[in-house]
Parts: sequence; structure tokens; C-alpha cells
Amino acid sequence: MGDHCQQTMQRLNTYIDRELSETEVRKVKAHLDDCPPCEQVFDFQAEMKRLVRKECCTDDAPARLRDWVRQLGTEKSKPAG
Amino acid sequence: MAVPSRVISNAAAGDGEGAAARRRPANPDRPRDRASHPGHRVRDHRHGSPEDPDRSADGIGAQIRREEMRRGRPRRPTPNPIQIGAAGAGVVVEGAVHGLAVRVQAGLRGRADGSGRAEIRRNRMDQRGVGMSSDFSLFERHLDALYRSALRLTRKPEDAEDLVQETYLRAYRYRNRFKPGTNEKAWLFTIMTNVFRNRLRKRAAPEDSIDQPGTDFDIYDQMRRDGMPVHLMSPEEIIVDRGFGDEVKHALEELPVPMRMVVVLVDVEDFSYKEVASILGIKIGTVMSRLHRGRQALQKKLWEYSGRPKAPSLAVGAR
Repeated sequence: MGDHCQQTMQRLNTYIDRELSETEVRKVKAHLDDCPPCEQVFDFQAEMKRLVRKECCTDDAPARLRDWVRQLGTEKSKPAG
Repeated sequence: MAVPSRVISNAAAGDGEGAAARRRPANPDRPRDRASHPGHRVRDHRHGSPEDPDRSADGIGAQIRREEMRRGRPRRPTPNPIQIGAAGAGVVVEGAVHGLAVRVQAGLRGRADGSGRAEIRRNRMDQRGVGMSSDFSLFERHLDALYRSALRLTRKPEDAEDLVQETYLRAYRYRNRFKPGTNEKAWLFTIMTNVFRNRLRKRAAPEDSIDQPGTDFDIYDQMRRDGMPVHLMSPEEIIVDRGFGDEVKHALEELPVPMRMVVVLVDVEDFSYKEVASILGIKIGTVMSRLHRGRQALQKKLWEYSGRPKAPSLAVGAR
């Protein structure tokens, strides 16, 4: 693994989490374009992140909890009893 | 814009983002950063704890105290003033608010005798909040996000529901400390993670047993070493397609709490590192290391679930 690969790998998380500056993003992209092995790792980990999100977004709050929150939100607009 | 009722001492008077802004300066290079407020730049002096009666005699603290007197419930010592600030003084009132949550929940489950609602009204009258109805509907928008994260944290639907209720009760109670135009989702998650950690602490589950050494595992690497054509496979094919449905959720729920919170906030809720640092009251570097270790640990679990040979570093005694 060359120096470029190593430097790029250090930015794996920050890259897929969109935490890098534009300049850094450009650097990473330039390397990935030239280096299929690194690109595959990045693709895989980015896909992994998407998978975690997708799999964990399936639980919606129960309807009664939503009703309760709405009720709490409207409490204040009623006249104080 | 000014927070209307700024009567309690420094630690208790800030909202989450204010507290975070006191801890570290805003980074102007980060467009995603919404957690900076001028006027909160002064570092936390930590003088005058929220317990100090003189400093809060006239404010919400006093109201809380009155309420607890009425209940005969003394205030607990508060371990971390910064986090109290971050949760909108939430820690101090946990007992009181929790009592209310239980009552309201009782009403919700069909045993309403009217006392829960009366209680809400009484609390509302205690507040000096300004017109907040629109803000609160803003909060409702994040219910699904809070609930699914609460599920990952508590692992149980009943507990998740209870955690979310308490979160909203506090949000409601301290709604006048929320600065309109700031990130309400982050504010709600600050409250929720604080409530959750306080509950853990009470159960004597040590949350910070986590800063273990890294696991150095990832599925891609492992499969490549095993000679699998991993570059031709998606994580979904590798993990989910072989499985039984909820592997990712289960794997996540098995992570140690601090790592789990960071992974949930970053991967599922899409908060920036800076926002997560603010929500959890930790450094950005800590966010990054927990995220890294959390993701590796997650992949290790998923690897096990997928029925493939155990990862070498997992198999105790192997090799």
C-alpha cells in the first residue's frame, strides 16, 4: 500500500460522512479515480453506512405515542384550567 | 435573540448548543455547523452549581424545587453540570418529570382520572414560556427519529416509548430555552441522550467501560483475506440476504452504549461530527474514534451473524 493509499484510507470515515473540506474531497477523489482497490473499499464502506441507515429506519413511532405528543403540544393553547 | 427566562446559574441556563458553544469555538469552515451562538463563547466557569439556591431562587429551579417539595422528593446531587446545561437542566428534574411521565402515560393507557392532564396544566402555568405552539409542532416532526433511536438505545419498545415521552416532556417544559432557528433535532437528541444516560447511571450500568482498544476488523478486509470476490458484492448481499431480517438492528444494539450512540447519531440520524460532539458533550476526536471502533465492532457482529467463520480476533484462543 503506497503513501497515497494510506493517506486516503485515513480519510475513509470523514469522506463517507461528508466531513472533509472541498479541497480534501478533491484529493481523495483524485486518488480513488486512480486506485481501484481503494475505491472499492470506499464504495463498500459507504454502502455499509447506507445499509445501516436503511435497516434502522424501519421503526416508526406508535400512533398512540404520536397522539400523545400532539396532545402535549396543544395543551398550552387551551385556556389554563 | 435572548432566551426569555435566564434566571438560573450558568450551567443550568444554557440549552445544549449553548453549552457546546461554550466548550469549543465555532468553526467557520463548516457549513453544516449550526451550533454556534455568539454570546455563549465564554467558557463555562463552573462557579455556582445549579444546587446553589441563591442563584436560582427565583427561576425555574425554584419552581422545580417547589414541585419536588410537594412530592416530598429531594433533589439528587447532580454529577455533571455541563450535561445538565446541555439537557436544559434536565437532570435536576428527572424525578419530578418522570413522575409526570408515568401519570400521563397512565392516562394514555386508559386509566385517565384527569390528574395527568391537570398536572400538565399546572406545569404549564409555572412556565414563563412565550408563545411556543409552532415550536412544539416543530419538535413533533422528529418523533420517528427519536423513537427509532430510543429503540436502539433501550432495545425495548416499552422503554423506548417511555424515553421518548420523557424527552418530549422535558422539551415541553424547557421549550422557552430552545432558540428558534437553531437545530431542534439536535436539541431533542441532546435531551434524550442525557435522559438515557442518567437512567443507565441509576441502574449502575457503567457506560464508559467502552474505551477499549480497537478491534481492527472490517468485513471488506476479512473477505478479501478469505479470497472472496468482495468487490463484486454489496454489504447487503453479504449481510442481509443471508440473514433473518433484523441483523443490523441487533448488531447495533449489542454495541457498548457510547459507541452505539455515536453510530446511531452519525449513521442513522445523519448528524455531523460536530453536532454529535455537542449532543453528547464529548470532543470531536472522541466522536471519531468511537465511530470508527463502533463501525468495526458492528461489522464484526454482522460477520458473526452471517454464519461465516469467526473473525480471527474474535475467536478466543484461536491461532
